[in-house]
Amino acid sequence: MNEKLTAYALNELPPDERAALEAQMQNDPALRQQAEEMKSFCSLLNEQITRSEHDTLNPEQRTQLLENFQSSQKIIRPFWRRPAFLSGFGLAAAACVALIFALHEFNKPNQDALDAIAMDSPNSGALPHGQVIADNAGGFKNEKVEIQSRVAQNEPITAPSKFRTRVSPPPLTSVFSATGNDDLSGASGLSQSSTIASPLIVSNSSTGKDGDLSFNGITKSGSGTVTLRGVNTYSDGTSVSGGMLAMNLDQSSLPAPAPSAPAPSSGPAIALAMSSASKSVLKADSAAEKKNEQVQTKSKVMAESSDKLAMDTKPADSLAAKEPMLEASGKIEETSKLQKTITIAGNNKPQDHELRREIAAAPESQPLGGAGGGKTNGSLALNTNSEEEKALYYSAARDQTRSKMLNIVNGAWEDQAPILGDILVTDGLYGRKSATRGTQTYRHIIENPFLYVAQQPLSTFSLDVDTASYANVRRFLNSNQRPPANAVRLEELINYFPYKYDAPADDKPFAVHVDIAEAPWQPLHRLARIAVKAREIKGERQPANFVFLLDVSGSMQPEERLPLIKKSLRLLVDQLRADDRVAIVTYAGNSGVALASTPGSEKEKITQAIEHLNAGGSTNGASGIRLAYEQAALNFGKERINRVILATDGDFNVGLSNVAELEKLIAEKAKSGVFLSVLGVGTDNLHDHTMQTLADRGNGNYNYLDSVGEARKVLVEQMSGTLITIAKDVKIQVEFNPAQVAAYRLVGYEKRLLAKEDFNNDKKDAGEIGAGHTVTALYEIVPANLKFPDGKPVVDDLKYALKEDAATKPSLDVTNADTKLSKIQATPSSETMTVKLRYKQPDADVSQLLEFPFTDNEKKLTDSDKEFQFAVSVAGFGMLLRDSAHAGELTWDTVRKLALSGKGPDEQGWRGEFIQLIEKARGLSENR
Amino acid sequence: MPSEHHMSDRHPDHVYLIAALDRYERPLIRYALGIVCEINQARDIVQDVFIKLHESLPTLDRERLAPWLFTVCRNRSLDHQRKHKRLVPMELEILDKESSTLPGPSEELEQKELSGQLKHWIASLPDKQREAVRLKFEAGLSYKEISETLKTSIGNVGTLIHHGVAALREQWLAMNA
Repeated sequence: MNEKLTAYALNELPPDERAALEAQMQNDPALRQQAEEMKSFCSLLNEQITRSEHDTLNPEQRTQLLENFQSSQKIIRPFWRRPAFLSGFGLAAAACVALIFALHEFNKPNQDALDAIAMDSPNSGALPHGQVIADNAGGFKNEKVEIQSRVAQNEPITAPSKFRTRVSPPPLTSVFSATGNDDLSGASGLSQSSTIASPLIVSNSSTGKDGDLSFNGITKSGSGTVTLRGVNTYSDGTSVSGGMLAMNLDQSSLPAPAPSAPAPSSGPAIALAMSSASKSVLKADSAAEKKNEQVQTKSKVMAESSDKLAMDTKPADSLAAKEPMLEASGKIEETSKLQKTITIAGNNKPQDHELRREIAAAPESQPLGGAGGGKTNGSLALNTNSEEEKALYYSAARDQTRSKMLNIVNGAWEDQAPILGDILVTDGLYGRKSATRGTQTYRHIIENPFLYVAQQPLSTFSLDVDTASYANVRRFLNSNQRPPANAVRLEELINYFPYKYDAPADDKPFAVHVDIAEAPWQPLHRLARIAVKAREIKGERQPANFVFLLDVSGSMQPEERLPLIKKSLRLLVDQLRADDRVAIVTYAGNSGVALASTPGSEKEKITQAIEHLNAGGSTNGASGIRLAYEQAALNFGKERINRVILATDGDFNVGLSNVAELEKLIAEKAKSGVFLSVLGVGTDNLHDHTMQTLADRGNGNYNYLDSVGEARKVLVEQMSGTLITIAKDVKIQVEFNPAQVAAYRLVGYEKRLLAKEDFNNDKKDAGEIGAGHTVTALYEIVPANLKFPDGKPVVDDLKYALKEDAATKPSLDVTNADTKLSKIQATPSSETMTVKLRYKQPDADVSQLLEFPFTDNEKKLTDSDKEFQFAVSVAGFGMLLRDSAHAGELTWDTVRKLALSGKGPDEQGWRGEFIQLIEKARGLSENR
Repeated sequence: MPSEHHMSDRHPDHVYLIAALDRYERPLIRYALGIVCEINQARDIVQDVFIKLHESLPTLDRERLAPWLFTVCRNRSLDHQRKHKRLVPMELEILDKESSTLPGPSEELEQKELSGQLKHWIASLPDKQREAVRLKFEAGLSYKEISETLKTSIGNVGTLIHHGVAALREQWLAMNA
């Protein structure tokens, strides 16, 4: 056997070698024999491997593809072949060179801020004053044009010769770096098409940071391009009287989360975008005058642009470019005032690793607010009106600290829906396409750091009773894999277990207990447990109005998905009473009502409907959810538990599946009284985050089902907690006494942090609590009166952090309010902290406040109650799995000991299972 | 600068796309399946590959369609895989067992087992051999196309496939013995 024989058997031998081999075989029967054997094995292999019923596309996918093929008007053409490029680019370039000209004339740029925007506006002549630097080193494929436009001048400047420009303060200087490319639709709508902006650089002298905002033009089926559209009308005597730059970021199709190491100064921009109307357009008063030589200049400019850009422009092309140019010149003579508008519109789909947003603003000159993009219609406005813009700037700065926190947690970034699947990225001018990764499987979690009480005495978060993370971690460990750190959400691990806390004695919905003992991972620190117990529902629950919304798409086929859901629902159906109502809505490529609302007495009928569900087709989440809410509305009753129960693997893969819109819809419906619970299934949790977000928006909870056992826990044993909400928007704010506590760290709840102002803001959405739920939060506390046995600092990693005296120094991390607070001498009090809790009744809009002060009584962990010990054990388990920086001297042994001593009677066996998981996790971690 | 060079005359393109779909749909899905191990994801990937093909048609070197398709398909599958980081060999087995739960003639069951077994063996070949063998047998590419996809010489492809096939055959003979 040799290679030739194999090639021969596969018919891959060149003719001459083949002939030679066949001749050889004539003389050598053994060789022939071998060749025959090889041939038969190869055909067997071929036959075996290619036989499969599964290896075709779904009919839906095929139809979509064929439709896509049909729409072949949308063809990407090398950019230099596109008419839009030819005319537009030439024109833009020409106009830009005109700007240089102008600049040469003024030559007094008062340059404070820079922004760079890519542009190529076919319709227009670009900016009135500017400088074009064309860098054509790489030839066509690396066309890079930088248009530096300087619109400047603090005071009126009289240019010596042809041009005179007056721009009202403050000065603005922009650098436009153009990487032009038209998008797909540009090919058809040539005359209007325009380009991609990348990057937009805004420099900020006040924070001392240069940020840049870069957009990657993304082109998929013609949408998603950051487009810079310039409309310039030149008038006789000339130029800019108003300029605006509005950026309309439509995140609708495929927005990116971009939470990667949260860009620190992106905050203000987002805050700004959110606070301002969906489109803020600020006008700049600038006037410039030009003389009549305009037209002549233009043609000069024209010629220069061709040269300067080193374009391969042949005469024909120049002509083509010249035509609209002349048109523009014509307008110059007609109009007497010029309105210049640059609008950036289109879908922006920034990638987290590609998009770096830092927004900045120069204190005096800064004309810029940036909208990084969370909002569906966020806007970026360039403003050269000094008062307004200063106000904007300062408000942005004020919001900075807050936004910093928020964008780590559930602030602006959270508003962006995650990407579902991959995106095709057309990279600006380079015409290069690359498949980029969508969102990470899990949201990145940055552990809460220690915070100084002197600076931030308040810690605010939303109560969370999701437990999905624990079930997910368990699945990983049971398959002998170590879960990724970001899949381990400490608060969800801790809250997976019901704790025996005392129920509220009075008719209040909550009881709050605080307990403090030493932290097992850092014995000098104290660990405060805040235990919240919700009221149990006594007697019969209210009648229910459930709509099961089931994903029956092809991806739900595997055993642990739809079949598991079916089993789980049967468990729930067994719990139904005669006055309950159940409807089933399915969604795949099309959504439909599988079972119209049926009373709970007809269990047989409901069970049969569940039985008949089959997986197949692709998923269109949005229409199914709409239909489900319609069904829920049909049987809506104020006295009922109205709830849509969505069961899915979260893989919304048809249409744009605009998650942002979906969230909006769900949030609206939640206000109408129909809440949403999400049951997640499936082994690949690509959409863990989507499901969590949907449940949050829907005032519901998200549970991950990895087994029938888990379904039993969620839907039967804790049914009232899962399905009956007794309070919504539950927030906790803890105030620490600086006399007692130097620093604190909230364990977990990274995604649930709120700004301190949000605590009293009833419009701010927060967590929901079901009947009988227990919620536990842990704070690691550095006591203020800590005695150092050997004089060493206790918390090494805070060596360079600002100490108490920091409050007197200006610091970006400290808002004005904080500064004031820290200056106030703490009233002498032995109280360690006060826990404040706000909640709303499920149908109320106004929140109520509960307060619980607490004093540390120097208890030891071993003396504290078992529930506390167990919660600490779970927290430690999570910290070790996460490789937490704060884990200190914590070992698996300690975790195990605490779990054993805190196990208690453990009727359901959940805690016993946890102890087994500790062993598994220990094995996986220590054998690495 | 042939600015009049329009692609709007789309009919031949459409035919070309349909032909490409007919020829490579199954091979690509099998190929993607070998990487991502989940049929629906493989389908999604292949659908994307064809959409990308459509978008890239004007710049495509049509002589080298197969290498292009398989390169794109592999990259996307690997991206996908990287995101999911799942174990490969186990899932193949599970998948095949699942697809064989339907009762049928015993012969067909045996066939399924054999094909499942072969796939399993292929999956355990060294990386390069596995790629070459899969491109050859699952996708039905020629040596030349394989060499372009894998960016190696035709001679090397011959060697890889020979070693791969020989190893498979040995395992097959051992099983039959």
